[in-house]
Amino acid sequence: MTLLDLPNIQGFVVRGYRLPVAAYLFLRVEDPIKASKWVSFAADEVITAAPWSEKPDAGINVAFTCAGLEALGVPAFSLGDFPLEFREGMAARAELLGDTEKSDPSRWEKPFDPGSAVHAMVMISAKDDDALAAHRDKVCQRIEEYGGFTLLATQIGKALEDDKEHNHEHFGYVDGIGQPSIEGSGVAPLPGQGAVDKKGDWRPIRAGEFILGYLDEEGVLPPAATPDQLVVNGSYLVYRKLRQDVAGFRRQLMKAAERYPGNEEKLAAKLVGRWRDGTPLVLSPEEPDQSLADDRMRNNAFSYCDDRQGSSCPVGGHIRRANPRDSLPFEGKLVNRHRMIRRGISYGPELPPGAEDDGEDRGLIFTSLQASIERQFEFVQSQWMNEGNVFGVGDDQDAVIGSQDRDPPRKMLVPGCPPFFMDNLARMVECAGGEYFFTPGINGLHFISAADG
Amino acid sequence: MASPNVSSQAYSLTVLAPIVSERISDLVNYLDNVGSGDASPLSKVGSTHFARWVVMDAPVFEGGRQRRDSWSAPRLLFTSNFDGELDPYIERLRVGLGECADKVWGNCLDYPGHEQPAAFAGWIKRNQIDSSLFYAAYGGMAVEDVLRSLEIRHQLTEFAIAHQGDPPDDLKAAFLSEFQP
Repeated sequence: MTLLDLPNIQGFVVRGYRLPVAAYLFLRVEDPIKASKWVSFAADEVITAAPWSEKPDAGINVAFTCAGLEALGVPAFSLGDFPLEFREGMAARAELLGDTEKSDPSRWEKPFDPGSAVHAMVMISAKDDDALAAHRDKVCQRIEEYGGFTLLATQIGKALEDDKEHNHEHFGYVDGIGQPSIEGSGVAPLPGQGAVDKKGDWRPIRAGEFILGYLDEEGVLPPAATPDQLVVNGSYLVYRKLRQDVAGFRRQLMKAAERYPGNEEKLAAKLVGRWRDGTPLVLSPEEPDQSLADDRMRNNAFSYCDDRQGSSCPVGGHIRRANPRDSLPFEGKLVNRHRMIRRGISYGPELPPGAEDDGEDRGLIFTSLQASIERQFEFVQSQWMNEGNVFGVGDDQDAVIGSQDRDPPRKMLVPGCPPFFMDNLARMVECAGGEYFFTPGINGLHFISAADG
Repeated sequence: MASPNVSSQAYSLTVLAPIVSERISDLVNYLDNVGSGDASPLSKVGSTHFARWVVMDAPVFEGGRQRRDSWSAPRLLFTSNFDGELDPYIERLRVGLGECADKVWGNCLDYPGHEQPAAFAGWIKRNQIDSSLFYAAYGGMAVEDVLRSLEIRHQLTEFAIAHQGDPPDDLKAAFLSEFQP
């Protein structure tokens, strides 16, 4: 097993900070020499994956688009080696991603609208609003002092916290339970978080699935651009602002539940594969179990080997699509190549229970980290969320985040006796903008800062 | 020994032809706009399960025990899997694609055009290579069997949704009236 070079890897790649507020600053390079000097400064500022002696109140991480690397002077031979999807950017991949209709890139908001070109993202994470405001002021002031960048837009994220340590998202489900554990990261794996390894066993996923410069699940180094100082310890970051139609989701669920043989909460659980409190359906199919949901040693420790037909967790349920575990053949080999590290955080105010739509912008800032955007994020989005063929559910799409852009509208099958079809599904989550970034290791930040200056 | 190109009733045709270098951009432009699904000219070639053209600039070396390979010119890959024998398929390809065949393969070395059946078939076969691994995901099903199964599945789903929650007797009566042979 290779140990990771933690002090040279940006911290959010390896661990979730559990810092409940965040600001995403989107920048454009105006003066490459000045901007490069700031990158050099940032190389010493970012939170790394080295173990903390004390949890910080706030900190930053940074990432760049392909245009950003180019603007900062990364040489053409190197840029040309980066994968096509990264060079093209997210908007160019809209058809593949199902970013159609309301999610069409022509409708994306700043700074992802067709006219803007984002070059860099600075993510600030903080323990509370005050810490965020203070750190944000400091970061912006520094950027201004160095010059070289224009601030295009800022996105604030804020976890919707329960009284416990769990966060839920706007549809009301506890989120962020399933995460792959990474080999060599020094973070103890929790049961069910790794790779499927024969029947019922789990092991950490090889680091090269997420971080460049390490062996991946194929046992080789993931393809990467040159030179290695730029790419080793780096990772690709997908950023998507996902707007949630909470009133619409509740309405659709309530309407379908009128005909569903169970109750509304049970149908809500069937859509996702977990009860809203996080209890996995496979482990507790008839009712939520708070003690199970809260137990990190148990709340993800399951497989689908005894639920092939999906009578507990539907085959088309959201978490089963996102991570089919042992549902697919070849002992997990087809699944372990398509995992992602997710670092999502909600934004916008909660809609009170039973309230009509208030027109507020709310949803989830989805971020994922992976070694290949095409093989991981794009594959999961296009084949597992917006298709159903591999699961034997035709071209049905995910009932929670699927684009539902087919005509006539598609359905979700909830197996049971009798089976239930939740039909006429509409899109409940739209993409309001997003981009593909590369988040370099500390060595990569030094390389970039030296590229032009 | 059984042909490596055959799985049950299905045949896997792989054609790898050198592209005339100054015509690459014409070819890429044409293929970019050729359409897919029902809009593809390949949809007019009967018994095709799946077929496509791919422009390959150079062989990719992936390390390990793979032999490092190089080409004098980029190649146009054509793969198709279809039902039945090769010779009648090449003829269906020639007739079904018509002038489209010339717009695509006309950018390749020594292509004789689609007008002469024997010359066309000879050229395809000269550039054919064996498929080293052919996995037919549809088992022993011919194209029309697959399409009929999909149609039945679709019909059954529509029926199930339309009659969701009906009392058993009504459900049975409705089923028999809709699906009675």
